[in-house]
Amino acid sequence: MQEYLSNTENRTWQAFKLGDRKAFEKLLNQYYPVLLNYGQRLIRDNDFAQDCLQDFFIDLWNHRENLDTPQSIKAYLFSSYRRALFKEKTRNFWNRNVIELNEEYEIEVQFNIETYLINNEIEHETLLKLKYYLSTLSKRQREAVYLRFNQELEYEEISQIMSINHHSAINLVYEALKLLRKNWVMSFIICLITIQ
Amino acid sequence: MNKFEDYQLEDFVQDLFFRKWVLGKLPPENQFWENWLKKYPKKRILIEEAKSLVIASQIENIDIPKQQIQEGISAILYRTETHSKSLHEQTWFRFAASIALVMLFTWIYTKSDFSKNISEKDNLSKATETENNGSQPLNLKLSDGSTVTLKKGSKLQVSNDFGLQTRTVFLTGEAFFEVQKDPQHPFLVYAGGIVTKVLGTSFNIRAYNNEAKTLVAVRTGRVTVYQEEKTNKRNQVHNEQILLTPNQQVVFEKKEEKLVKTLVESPVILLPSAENENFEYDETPIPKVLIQLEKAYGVKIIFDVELLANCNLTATFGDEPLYDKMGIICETIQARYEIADGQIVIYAKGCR
Repeated sequence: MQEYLSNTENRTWQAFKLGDRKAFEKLLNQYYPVLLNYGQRLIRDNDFAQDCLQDFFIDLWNHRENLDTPQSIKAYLFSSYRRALFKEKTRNFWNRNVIELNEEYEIEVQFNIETYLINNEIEHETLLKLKYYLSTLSKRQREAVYLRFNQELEYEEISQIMSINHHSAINLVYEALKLLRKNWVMSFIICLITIQ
Repeated sequence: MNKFEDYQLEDFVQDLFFRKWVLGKLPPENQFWENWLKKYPKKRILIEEAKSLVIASQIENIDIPKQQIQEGISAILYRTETHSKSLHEQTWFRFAASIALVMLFTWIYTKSDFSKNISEKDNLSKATETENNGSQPLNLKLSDGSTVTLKKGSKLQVSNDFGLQTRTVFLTGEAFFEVQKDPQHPFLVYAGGIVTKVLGTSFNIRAYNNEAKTLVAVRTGRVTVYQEEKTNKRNQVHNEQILLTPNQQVVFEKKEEKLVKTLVESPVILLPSAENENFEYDETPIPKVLIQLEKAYGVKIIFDVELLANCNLTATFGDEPLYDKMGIICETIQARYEIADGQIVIYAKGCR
């Protein structure tokens, strides 16, 4: 199944490189929404994320002939778009206080339980503790978890996108999960409440 | 698949196949996990724990309207069409060339004093200052090839390190800028409490000291505008930045220190061409009309495609302003439009 998928993907990519508009449209339909979702999480400014994504795809089209054929098209698009976003952002801050890139970015990844806790203004002590624990998750942990759970990417792909090594990618997800697990009983109860 | 035998709680939770099962994304005929549980009944508690953690660790959705995505994709397709691109470049090239010629001639013709002043003062003072005390707009050419049309009673200062790292100028009053493209050296205009940053484009700034507002209006390209930083607010690094596209403008209320994005008073057609100027409609679906106007003026029009799918328009438009066209369209379908955040939003009931 996986093999088959990557084969058709590969063919689409090759066709796109040769200037096939249909293939380009196919790539757009498949990746534009997910990339936009990712971009809007990385940058608070939705318009900015969208403008960047448009420019990104236009660039991609204009340079299609010189592109390599990546192992994973999804990972390639995610990492290039991520880079383009940050590059554009630093350029916007050009000549002003330029901050270390890694510190600068934000990520909007909120777990369902967090939202539940916030929305219901929970005052129970143990739940407050859980809310606190969740808030201590780092941006990188959140990003890795998002890429794994929502975008269903392999760790190899995540490491490529976030420019970290394979192990760090796994660690980021596992550490986040351990933190969640510490409170899993509470989570379970909350989920029951939420479902009802 | 025996690897699951040694799986710990976290291993299950991060496993994509396992998550699919918990979240009901596996096809019903896939009974892998049911069978696995039958084979390893001891693991049931662990699996239940993992299931609850999968549910708890779901990530909140960000909703992006389908229409927005569709529009985004069509915009990319439109902007990458080869014929429109080459046409675009050609028209642009000719346009730029003719402007350059006109500038050159006016410069030679008038041989005005200010140009001498610029070169002389350059070596003397820190910033070169040009004031237009005459009754006619004054055309200036900067060392990078950019041109500035300085309205009467306005003043432009060119910083002495212009072109070194940035191209910085200071404006009081009103001027129209046509900036040469040079991404390595951002062009910055300080005027009326805000900074306008561009890489290469044309736009107008109105920043008179005695007026309560500063206006930046974009003709072509893209422009970023942000508030000038005050020295006592050093921590305020993430100043609000506003990105402007053609026919958009920003209004800066000096007193409230507020930046508001809106549309220019009379939007112009971006690329005059047969396709962009033929506004003849015969029972044409309204969405089609709106998309054409959107392209021609480069202004985003927000509407509900499904709601307006049954609405038609029979009309012929000429060169009347965009807002008149919008008015006629809205009248025919008994809708109204508003301008918000640099976009046109249509409120309609739909047609039967």
